[in-house]
Amino acid sequence: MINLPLPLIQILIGLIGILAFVGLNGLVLVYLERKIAGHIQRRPGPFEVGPHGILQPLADAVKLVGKQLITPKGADSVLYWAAPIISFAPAIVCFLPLPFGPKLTNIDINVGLVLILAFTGLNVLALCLAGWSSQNKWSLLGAARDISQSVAYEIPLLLSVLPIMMLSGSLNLYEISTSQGAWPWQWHIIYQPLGFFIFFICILAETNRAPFDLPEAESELTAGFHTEYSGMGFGLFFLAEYSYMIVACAMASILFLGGFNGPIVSGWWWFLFKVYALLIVMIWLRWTYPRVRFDQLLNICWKWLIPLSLINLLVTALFIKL
Amino acid sequence: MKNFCISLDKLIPAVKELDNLGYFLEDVCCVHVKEGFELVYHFDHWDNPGRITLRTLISDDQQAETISHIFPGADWHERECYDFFGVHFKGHKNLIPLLLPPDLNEHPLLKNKKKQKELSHILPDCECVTAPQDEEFDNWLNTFNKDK
Amino acid sequence: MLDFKLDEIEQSGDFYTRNFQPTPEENKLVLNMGPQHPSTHGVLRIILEIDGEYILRAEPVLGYIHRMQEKMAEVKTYPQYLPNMGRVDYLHALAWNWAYAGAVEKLMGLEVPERAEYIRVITCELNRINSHLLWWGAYLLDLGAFTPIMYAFADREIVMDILQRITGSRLTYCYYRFGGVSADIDQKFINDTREFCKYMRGRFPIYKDLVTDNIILRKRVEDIGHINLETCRKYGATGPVLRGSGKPYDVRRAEPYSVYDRFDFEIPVYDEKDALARYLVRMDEMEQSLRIIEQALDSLPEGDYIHPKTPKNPKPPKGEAYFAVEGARGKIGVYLVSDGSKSPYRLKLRSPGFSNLSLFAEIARGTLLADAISILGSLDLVIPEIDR
Repeated sequence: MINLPLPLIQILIGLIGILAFVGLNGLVLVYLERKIAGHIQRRPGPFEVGPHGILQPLADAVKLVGKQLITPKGADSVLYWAAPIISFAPAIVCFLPLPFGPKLTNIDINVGLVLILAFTGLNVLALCLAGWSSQNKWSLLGAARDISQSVAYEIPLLLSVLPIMMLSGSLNLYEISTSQGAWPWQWHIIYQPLGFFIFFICILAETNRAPFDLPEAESELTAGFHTEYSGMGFGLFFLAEYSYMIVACAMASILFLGGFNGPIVSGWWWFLFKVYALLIVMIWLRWTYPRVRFDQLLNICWKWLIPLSLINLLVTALFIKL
Repeated sequence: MKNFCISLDKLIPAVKELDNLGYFLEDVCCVHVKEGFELVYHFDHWDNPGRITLRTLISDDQQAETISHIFPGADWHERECYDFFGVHFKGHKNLIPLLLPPDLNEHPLLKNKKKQKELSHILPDCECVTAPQDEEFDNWLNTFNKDK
Repeated sequence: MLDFKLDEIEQSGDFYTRNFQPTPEENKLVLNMGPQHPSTHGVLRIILEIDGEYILRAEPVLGYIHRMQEKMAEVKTYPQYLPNMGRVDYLHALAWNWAYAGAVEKLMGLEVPERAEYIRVITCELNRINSHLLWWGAYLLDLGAFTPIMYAFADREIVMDILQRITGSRLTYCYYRFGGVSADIDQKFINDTREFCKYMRGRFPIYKDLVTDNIILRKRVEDIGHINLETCRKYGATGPVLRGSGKPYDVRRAEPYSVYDRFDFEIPVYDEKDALARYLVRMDEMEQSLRIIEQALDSLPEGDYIHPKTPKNPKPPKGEAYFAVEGARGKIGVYLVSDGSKSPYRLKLRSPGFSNLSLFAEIARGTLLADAISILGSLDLVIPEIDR
């Protein structure tokens, strides 16, 4: 019998749980996205597989798993297949420090916030590799767009998180959660409305969601960086995108909306409720707005979001000092 | 509705005149007849509607003159004529197949000897094509300018 | 290591790519947009030379859905060729029906009964609304908004149901005959059409609030793709493209055919010359079409729906005829040369999209890739019509 240290066992169990959670969430989100899109567009959405099409995402997943993996001619096959894994794996790690409930935190580390921000940053590398190694001009353009977009939006994202750190005095996500009360007026969003607004726009851009879905803009770049991917190569990018969406919305709810704290009885249900509410807003936005242009996207970031978040940071610092 | 039959070397000056008068090019069309190819240029005017048709006749082995330097829109119309009939337009910058595949060596709208009709047979009122009357266009031009 | 060699790249590409750029140039990427691309609406191909995302040069390559309609005309009899017209431009099929039928009628000197003219006006305008609606949805799709096309389709469905009852088809109509139309309209058609007009009027404000006034859309179409009047004239652009550049030229007014001179309607014109102007022209045109339809329904005369003495197999006299109508995309022209036999000696189809697209290469120069797609969409291209 090998004696595994306790934290390692904890992380292992946590990872298994998270993988299950991510997979399940992927299915739910796909279903949710398609159903909401359907109802926004005056049609029922998936309806054939299972009651109200509830098994449709499962059928899609099975189809994706069963598909042949094709490496395009001239592609760098090592990098090409590494990219989807590099994209997906950090997403799992990001779930580890998330406090789902008062007693539901996998690893309670002091630098949880930094850990998540660091690992989500890895996604850029994956998309860059995918675009470069595909040997496709559309993929390359998509990757180029993604890098400039992600790098630009990382800055206001960090700047809008900093005031929260100042307010709660911690980088530990559990402590940030508990520093907020149960009722909405006790949440950080009351002190940081601008911060929340900037943060939400930035996570839309960071997760490549419409109206900022330029790296995969299908009417411009066919499918952007994942043009050439088939089967689970595409599936992993897809899953990663949804996982990052959940991570981003979880961050938003922890930092600004009180995390698992909620009226009457606090618990993981409030956390999930807030996360899903934010996800639905993201889906709603996607099916409502046209896509912005690339230079406009960067203009919003450099000309508006960064100065605004800097001002926000300074004002917050000033108030805390007073 | 005006119909002018002009000779090939009068075509470019005539088109230039129409350009100066503010006409726009509707299309360039080619008809294969016994005498050769009848090129039909349709022009119209926005503020002064009334189609102007310029016709010119070239023989089977003769080359036409491009008007794409005057009306860039004629570029594609001429390429289409080249596709369908094999008519060469002298001075055209990019005379490559437009609608048909580049490796096709046929010109589908060419008519064989049996099907070809004489121009006077298909266009009873336009005998002038074989005997171009350039003065008619000049006369019309003068009256048009005078009216202005 | 990438396992391809440089000389392979040099030889890559087909005839058109090599003609476009004979030798690779540094810092310039040759990009084939299409023939399979979500934004080229079918099978248009555009070769782009780009530097970053800026387009240095563009060249459309046509012919991927070329069917040699003009040759088909020469081997078919006049009535046999009628169904072809619905397939030239599948979005505004009735205008092409009309252009061809009109040319043959003009040559034969065949008179169309007044009721048939009114029916033609009503159905053609309904079809125009349909075409513009689909353009609207597809254009928004190009700009990344997925929802409007579904709304447009729901509205189109009503028109298609109305037209289906009378014409027998939903998209590729073959309804007009020489000397009239193939079937008379009935009371249900009239009621349904009136109801549709009322319904459609209620939709426009929704579309304006939801889409037209959206800031993101405005930023994507305003000041994009300026086409000045001189360019329009040099390339022979017509239709909403020309009217968006500030010229109220409409064949229905300039060269009135049928009974259009009896109706009171406006020609929407915008002076801005950009994609937004073309967008607004089309939106306004739908409203004007509704006006025409309502007026035509109000004054619909009784009588024959087809000339009673229309020959089954007409042999128009020798000669030529040019008949132009205003399609959803511009001036549709049919030039017909007859040698007195059962089939045309030569039939030339002047498609508005052909001329409108030919100016794309000029206005796309120096724009961003995303803007080029916005411009391309604003030209309202139907590739089968361009390729014929």
